[in-house]
Amino acid sequence: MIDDDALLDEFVIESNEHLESIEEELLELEAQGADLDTELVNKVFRSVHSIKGGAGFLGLTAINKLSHTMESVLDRMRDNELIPTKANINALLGGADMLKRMMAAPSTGTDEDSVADIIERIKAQDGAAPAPESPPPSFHDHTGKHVKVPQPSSSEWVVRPAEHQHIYLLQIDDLKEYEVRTGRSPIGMLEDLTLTGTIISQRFVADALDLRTGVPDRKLTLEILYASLFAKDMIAESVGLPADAVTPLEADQEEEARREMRATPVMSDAPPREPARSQAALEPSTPSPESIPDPKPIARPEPMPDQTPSMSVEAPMVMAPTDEEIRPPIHEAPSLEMKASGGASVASGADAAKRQVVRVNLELLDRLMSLAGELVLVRNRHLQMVEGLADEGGMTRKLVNQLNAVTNELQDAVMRTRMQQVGVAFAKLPRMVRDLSQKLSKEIELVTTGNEVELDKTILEALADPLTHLIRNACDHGVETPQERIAAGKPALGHIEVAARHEAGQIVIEIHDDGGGINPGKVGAKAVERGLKQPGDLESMNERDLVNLIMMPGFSTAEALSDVSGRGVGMDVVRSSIENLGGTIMVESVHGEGSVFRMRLPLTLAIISSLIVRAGERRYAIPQVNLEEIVTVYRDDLAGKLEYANNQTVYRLRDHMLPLVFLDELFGSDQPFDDIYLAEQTAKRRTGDAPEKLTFVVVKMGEERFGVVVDGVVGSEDIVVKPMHPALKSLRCYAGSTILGDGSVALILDIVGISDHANVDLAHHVIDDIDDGKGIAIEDRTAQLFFTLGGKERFALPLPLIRRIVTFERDQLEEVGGKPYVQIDDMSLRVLNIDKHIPVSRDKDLPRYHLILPRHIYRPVGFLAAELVDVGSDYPMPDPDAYIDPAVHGASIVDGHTTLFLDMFHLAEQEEPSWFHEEEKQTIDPSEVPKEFGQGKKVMLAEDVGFFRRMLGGYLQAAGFEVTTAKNGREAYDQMQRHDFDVLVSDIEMPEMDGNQLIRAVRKGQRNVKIPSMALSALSKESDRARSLKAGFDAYEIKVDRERMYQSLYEMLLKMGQGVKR
Amino acid sequence: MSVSHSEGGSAHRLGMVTVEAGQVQLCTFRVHGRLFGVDILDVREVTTETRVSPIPHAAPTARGFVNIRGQIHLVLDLRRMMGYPDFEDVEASRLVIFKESTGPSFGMLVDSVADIQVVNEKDIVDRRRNDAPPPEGSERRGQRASLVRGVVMIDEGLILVLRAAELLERFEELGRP
Repeated sequence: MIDDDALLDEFVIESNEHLESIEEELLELEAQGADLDTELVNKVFRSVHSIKGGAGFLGLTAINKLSHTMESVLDRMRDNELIPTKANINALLGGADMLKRMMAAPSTGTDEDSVADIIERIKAQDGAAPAPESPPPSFHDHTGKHVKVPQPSSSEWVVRPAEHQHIYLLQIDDLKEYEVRTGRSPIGMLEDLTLTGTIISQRFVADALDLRTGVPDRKLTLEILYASLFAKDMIAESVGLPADAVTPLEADQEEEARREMRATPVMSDAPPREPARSQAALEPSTPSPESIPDPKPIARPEPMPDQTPSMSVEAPMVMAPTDEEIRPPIHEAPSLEMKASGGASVASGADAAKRQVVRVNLELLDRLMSLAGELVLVRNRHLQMVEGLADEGGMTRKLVNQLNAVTNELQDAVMRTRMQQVGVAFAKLPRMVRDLSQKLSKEIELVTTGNEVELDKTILEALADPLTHLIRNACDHGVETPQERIAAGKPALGHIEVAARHEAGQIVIEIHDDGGGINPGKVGAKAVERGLKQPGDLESMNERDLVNLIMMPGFSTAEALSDVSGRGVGMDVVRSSIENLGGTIMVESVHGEGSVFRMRLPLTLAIISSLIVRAGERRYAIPQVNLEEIVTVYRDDLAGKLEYANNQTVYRLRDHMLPLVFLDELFGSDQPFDDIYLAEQTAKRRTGDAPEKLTFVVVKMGEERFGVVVDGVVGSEDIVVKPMHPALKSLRCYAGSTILGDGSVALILDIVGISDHANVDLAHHVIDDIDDGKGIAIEDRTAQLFFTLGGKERFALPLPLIRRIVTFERDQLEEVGGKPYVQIDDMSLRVLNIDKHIPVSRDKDLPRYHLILPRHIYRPVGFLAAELVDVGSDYPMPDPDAYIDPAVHGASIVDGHTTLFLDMFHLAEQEEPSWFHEEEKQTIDPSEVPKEFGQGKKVMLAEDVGFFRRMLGGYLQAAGFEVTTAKNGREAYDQMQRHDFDVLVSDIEMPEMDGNQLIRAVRKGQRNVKIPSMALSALSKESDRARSLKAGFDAYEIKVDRERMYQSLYEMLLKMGQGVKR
Repeated sequence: MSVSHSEGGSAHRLGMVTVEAGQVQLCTFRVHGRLFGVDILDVREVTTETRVSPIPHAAPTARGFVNIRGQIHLVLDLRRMMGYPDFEDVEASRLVIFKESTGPSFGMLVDSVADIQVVNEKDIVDRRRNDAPPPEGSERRGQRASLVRGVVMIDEGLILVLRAAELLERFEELGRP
């Protein structure tokens, strides 16, 4: 019936909380009477309703039925159809009491019969309920004499007494005398009586039975069968009757009920009033000396308004006489005995365990955790102190060891107060799977394992939604329909397994389904369709990477939104919620066989594993979840591994270019990590001595990796996370603070924040080695023109470097001096055949060719192409090592074809060296330009096109310059007002501030006023040159001719008296 | 320590010192030779724990974090906030820890702690009210002035009475270059 005890415990704990408050609230309702607070009724209603719901869910029919009955009474109160009265509130309280008792053993102790009685009683309060079917109560008084009870004539006013009410027979011998004596009418008396109890029945007794013979002249007696919580004397007093006019009765039925109750263990745990009264009923007429109560310990009757039903437990005592009159056996003493012994003995072990659950404020737990942590520190200091002591007999050490053990256990115990079994979160899954499989017409079986694994409550609660989502997903998209399964040769019954386990200090939760799995190809295609990935990206991805794309934001494989899992939240939400908890999620799938979603979660958020690292004197904690590996490299091995791109230092770790962040630098200055600062720092490292050893921690954030260079690794430590001080929330580099083993405070690093602050260039995992001047990285993914020569290879030329493409017939080709030329627009253009320079295949016999005319090579040359394939920037980064040739930047696979990325300038230079070196007279021969003439000089390079910026930057770096780049004149100007440079190289056409405006501003500015400057432009007209020189440039060159630029720069620096290396 | 005796019913007791209505007890301390004071009701404790862990990127007026019995407190430097040179002997400094009701977990580094002084509230003179508006370009002085509730004269000299809560509000702008 019940799958999970933990779930049941939860239900019991919660229900008991509800019941606790219900009691008070019902009393409040009673006090309010007709003028009731609807909100309060609602509250009680909701409490009962949730008990009912939980019981229904858990299959606890008795509890469910009882709470349902209570609910319907409350519902009518809510609708103002029923006014709370003592009687109906009593009935409800009786129900609540019963529920409480049943909660002691909810699943085993109660069958439906045992609640039938109380349900009847409550129903009696519900006007809608049918009249009681049981025979009218018959009573006997304490002497055992049978009392005739009048038959009810109408069910409307017949009320069965609630369980803990006492039944009295009220006899008003003479109504006339009563009226005279008390001054109130019999009607008034009846009204009073309804305030303190319930009139079950009444009759008139006249001397003459037949009134037709005349109205009796003597007296009219009224007998009332009355049920009330209150003691006899109080009732007598309240209505102004002599005490002997009120006779307590015992209901005959109660004896029956008592026997039943005895048979049921639950009932034996009931409050003592039943046994007490039963006892009395058992021995109705055998007063024995020991059963005669001692009046002394008996409670005095409370004044009526203060009387509360909860005190009705003590009702048998209250009933005891307060006057001298010894009462016939209403046995208080035995009842007390029963209470003491019976109550204690029947409490079973399980019952006791449940009562020991206490809900504790989380703040208090946190405080306990802090204190336990503090105790650890005290212990640590003790340990240190003991180290230095002469310890005779090892006594001190022994004590410290004990302290050590206790402290560890304490910390562990405190930590465990926050832990809950993961089964609590799993418990609702079977039901969900059952419902879903019906809805989807699938046959699915769910198995959960590792329910006992404990997790931090906070994490567990946050886990509920992702878990639900994953299960829903597995049912909807994972497991196939029975037909599909049979067709695939699988059993019709699908399986979903949810398993939790400990692994390396983390919790691993796996959700495994044996469904159709995920089709990596489909996922890849979808990712491209959604624009999440470029087609080229997929090439380098293995199946696992592809499958994991489903967790990218904006991805959803559901072809049609189903109402099961198509709720507008995708797997990305699952992923981010898991990552917010400091966990990770991965999916593995075998197409056709099923999928596994694997979540790794920390045990707790309050204590995390971390790596303590050192930067200078200071220590910092890096959360374990961010850690990938620790790398230490010694100087000898550093060569060739450390590379300096423009403003990033990267380390070649295996196949990846890992950007490095230097922690001492990061925290050594408050300066923002802008391009300038980064370039300065990079240059400093570049020129400085290589460190003797380099230690860095490879950290990850999602898919991205970078290295954090530290001065040392101190070790691993479990730390208690304390949030960052509210006044310092703006500091993004920290995730919080913690207290280390020695009592000092350390900051916990926020890897994402650091990456932002340090401007880590995560996009450029592949950075070409630009130092050797071999080539440049096509870093911005400049759009490329892809073409063939008719053979199988493809070629790529950067689109920005192409001026136009013309088509010509094969017979238009002319040979001049053994070289091919073609006449285009009255110009004779040299046809550059790539196969002359690079060993590639080519179809020689095509009727028609294309000629690609370059933009920045001002020579009459065009590149021959057979077929223009595509234009696009969706391609994987070319690998410079994949094709080693000076005329090729690199190669990669684009759309399944090997593609060579060409160096247009190099090809042109190879084709006709004279174009580049002989045409114009230079005052300095190119051979006179020293190789690294820019050594020690800082150059500011202003260029808006990323491609050129990178290329020119590479050229300048190859010449020894320390390069700082700016994307426009404005940026260059700003930087030049803050830092000193030795030379400025600037493009002319730039957004925001063009080159001419820039040099004018610099010449009028505060800093770098007389800086040697060179315009490097695509504008080749003489008027352009004149304008730029007039604006203030010292030289004007047309890009992009490397040798010319070197020459011109060298010449300019010489002329301007700058000491350059010769 | 100056102690005032009270026979009136309106006085309330604070430690050994009885304070009458309209009086305020100041916890005084020295910074750069000057006497400062804060309302003793703001102060939780004064400690010698000055093992402060610096917080890079925080304003220089925030000296760092200190661990007081398992709770991390932010340590502000009054010298830096007031624009005085740094104290050579930080080890000898004292840390005034404020109550949570004054501001979340923070304290203030001072040179040394002096007596507790009982002064009449009305004797604390808010200089700003009397002074002309601050001269041009003295934004920093204005910021500092807002830390000061007023000055009060006692036998030993002038006490600058600080608003403790204001310290936490202002340290960041006072730390900016």
